[in-house]
Amino acid sequence: MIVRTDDLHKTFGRREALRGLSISVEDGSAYALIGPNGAGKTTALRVLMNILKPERGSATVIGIDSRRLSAREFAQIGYVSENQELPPRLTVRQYLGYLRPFYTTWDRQLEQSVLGELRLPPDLRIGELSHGMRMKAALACALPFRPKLLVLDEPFSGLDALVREEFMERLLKQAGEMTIVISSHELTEIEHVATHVGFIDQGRLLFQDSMTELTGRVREVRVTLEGAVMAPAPVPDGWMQLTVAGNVVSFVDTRFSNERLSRSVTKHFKGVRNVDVRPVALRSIFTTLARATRDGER
Amino acid sequence: MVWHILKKDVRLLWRAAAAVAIIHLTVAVLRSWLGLFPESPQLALVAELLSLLSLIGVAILTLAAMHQDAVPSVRQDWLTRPIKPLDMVLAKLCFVLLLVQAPLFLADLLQGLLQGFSLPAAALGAAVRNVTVLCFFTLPALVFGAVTHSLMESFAVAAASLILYLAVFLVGTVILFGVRTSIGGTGLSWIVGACWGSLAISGTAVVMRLQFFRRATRLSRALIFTGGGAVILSAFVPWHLAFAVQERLATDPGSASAVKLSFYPELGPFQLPAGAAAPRGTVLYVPLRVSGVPSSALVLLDRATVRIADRGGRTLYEGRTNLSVDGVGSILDARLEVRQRGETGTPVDVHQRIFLPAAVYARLGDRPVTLEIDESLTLFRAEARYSFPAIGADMHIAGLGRCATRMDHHGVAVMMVCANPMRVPKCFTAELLDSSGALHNPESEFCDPNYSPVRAPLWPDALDQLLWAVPFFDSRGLVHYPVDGSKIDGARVLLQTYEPRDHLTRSLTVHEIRLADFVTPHGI
Repeated sequence: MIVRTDDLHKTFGRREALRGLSISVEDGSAYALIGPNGAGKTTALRVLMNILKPERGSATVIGIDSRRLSAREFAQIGYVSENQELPPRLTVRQYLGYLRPFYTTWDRQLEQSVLGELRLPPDLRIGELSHGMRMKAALACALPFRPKLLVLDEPFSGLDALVREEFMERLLKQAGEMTIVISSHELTEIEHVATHVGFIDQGRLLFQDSMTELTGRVREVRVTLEGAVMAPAPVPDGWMQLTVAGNVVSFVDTRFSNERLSRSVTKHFKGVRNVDVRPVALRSIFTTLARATRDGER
Repeated sequence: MVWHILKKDVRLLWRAAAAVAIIHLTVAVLRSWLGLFPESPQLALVAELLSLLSLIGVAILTLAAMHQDAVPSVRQDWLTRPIKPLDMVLAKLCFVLLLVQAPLFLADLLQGLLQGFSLPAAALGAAVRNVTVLCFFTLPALVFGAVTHSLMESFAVAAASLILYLAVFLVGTVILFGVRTSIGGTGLSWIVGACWGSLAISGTAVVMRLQFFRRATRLSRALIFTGGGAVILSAFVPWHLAFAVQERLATDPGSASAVKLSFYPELGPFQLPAGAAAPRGTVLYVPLRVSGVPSSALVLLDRATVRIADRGGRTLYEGRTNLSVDGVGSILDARLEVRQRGETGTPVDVHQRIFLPAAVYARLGDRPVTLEIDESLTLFRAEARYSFPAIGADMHIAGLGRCATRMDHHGVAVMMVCANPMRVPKCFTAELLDSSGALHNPESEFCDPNYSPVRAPLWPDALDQLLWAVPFFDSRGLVHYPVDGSKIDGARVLLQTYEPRDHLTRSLTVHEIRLADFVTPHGI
């Protein structure tokens, strides 16, 4: 595991931002940390980067306790955050020139190609750049040294569609040669890049899985019956957002398998005319799980 | 990578550094051009304000350098870059030394050279001021910059600290509760500055380590707050402790061991000199005989603790005389100065002035009491004598510095000023001699003791100054000066300097004394 956290706790005053967070990120994967606002995603990433120190628990990054990350490890880690403050009075070119000597692996050709692809004006001061341009500048400063681990904290926040596209394109070009940990609300973009997903809420991990597993086991199911039907009680395990409209029952099955579904449908419904099973987009999975969590809290 | 980080900071801040350097330079040139007697008070004021501005510039520039790579922030890009904390600290220190301190040193050096001092003397003076500014301005700004992330935040914290200091210390403690500092207004007040300086150096080392290696901002801020409190508290250090430290630092320890004080009622009541204004309030004049004072020496009171007790030893009043009591009198009013004009061993008789609160005197004046006085004294030895023209002098005098004289605007006194990159005397007597040397005026004396082992010039420049007026005409007609305006041409100033050599404490107990017998009618 290139990143691993175990029972992380972090509080700000009385607010518990992390409450025993445990995640693990495989080497070479693209791990999407998703969750509602205030779930603790940014705090978790800041703990990983040793910007914040946890009160309890541990985090290891590239095999080192995050609290002991030194220049040697940071030379292999790229970090891009929506709140990142780059020196506003330096131009992009000047800042790249400043960063270059700190990295033995800095690739000038790659730097030029990233600059070009991201359409960054190299001689404009960073402080004069728009938010989107600044995010691109941050990415441009995080890629040329070919990091082993790239940590992206809400990188798409406030970016328009075109900038998002350029950002993603550039990211995907290098995605294969590094591990990516990304937190974002923009699940559509994440879906293209993530191989693994961790769902975090109120400082705790609710689940983590590979995208293949996740999308494979979550299905939107629509059962059409011959006559009117009542919702099964209790609702079978793993069925969420169950709705009944006339003779149609819809739900999201979060533990989908063909055998299991047909067993359950046969058990709970009589006169099944049709069972329609569709894959679910990450966004829908996220909203389904988020709602279920919220309802569960109530 | 130190040099690399430094280059980045220089690229970002060179304009601000140049602006501050230009202010330093302007001050140096302006003050040199104005000379020792500035013809234009307005320009002299401008030079002083610019000098203040340059110190503020030093602090702001240091803060700005620190904020380029702020530590407390969670958003700064450098926190996740492969930058070694030690490299960052060293780069910031290099910036401070090269772009903040060095221009100040060069400006002070230039001013010293323009004033006609030798290169070593000017360089030494500039170096001493540089270290002082480093300790009093730059290092605190460095520390402040390490625990804040923007200039605005720094200003807000500084303003809040100032308000807190004024509210809690000045208003709460000093004004409302009448708590007085123990060493303020004495030759020992340098101890507060020394505490500030030593805390600035050690605090910088500790806070930089905590911030750059552990990013322990909360702990660092707590330490800074505690350090600030410790500096304030150092002004309240117990007098005896402070004086014991001073005694250990004496340049000629033991030289005052023969000095003895005794109650000497045979001296009679104090007679106020004709025409002299009576001090306000109730003043006790205690007749003393001081023996063992070496020739050409003087003994000066630093502080006296006065205790009045009844026959049973119960304390009826306790006070101290180095500062005014009940707002009456001043530091100079309570001064006891014993000057040996004869040979060593000749006793010197003096009256010691003790200011008593009126209510205390009203209660105790007519009853026999025991008077105890704990004296903390300093022995000064005559150091050097200098002679220079009373009017129109502008010369370098070895040991004294560059000195100039002229008549004051009212035509009643000779103004003299001496500047030196080293220390100028803080205690001296000055008298006027006519051109033949046969006539001389009574000595005028000045002593503003500062027992600091090192000079710490902060503002307005690196030069230490001595400024004094030697009178030769009394417009009230009370004093007749042999060397008056008619003989001032060709007259010379004779300056005798005194340097502190040893510090001593003596206790005096007088039993069965009736205070009313020693209070002059003028004083009531």
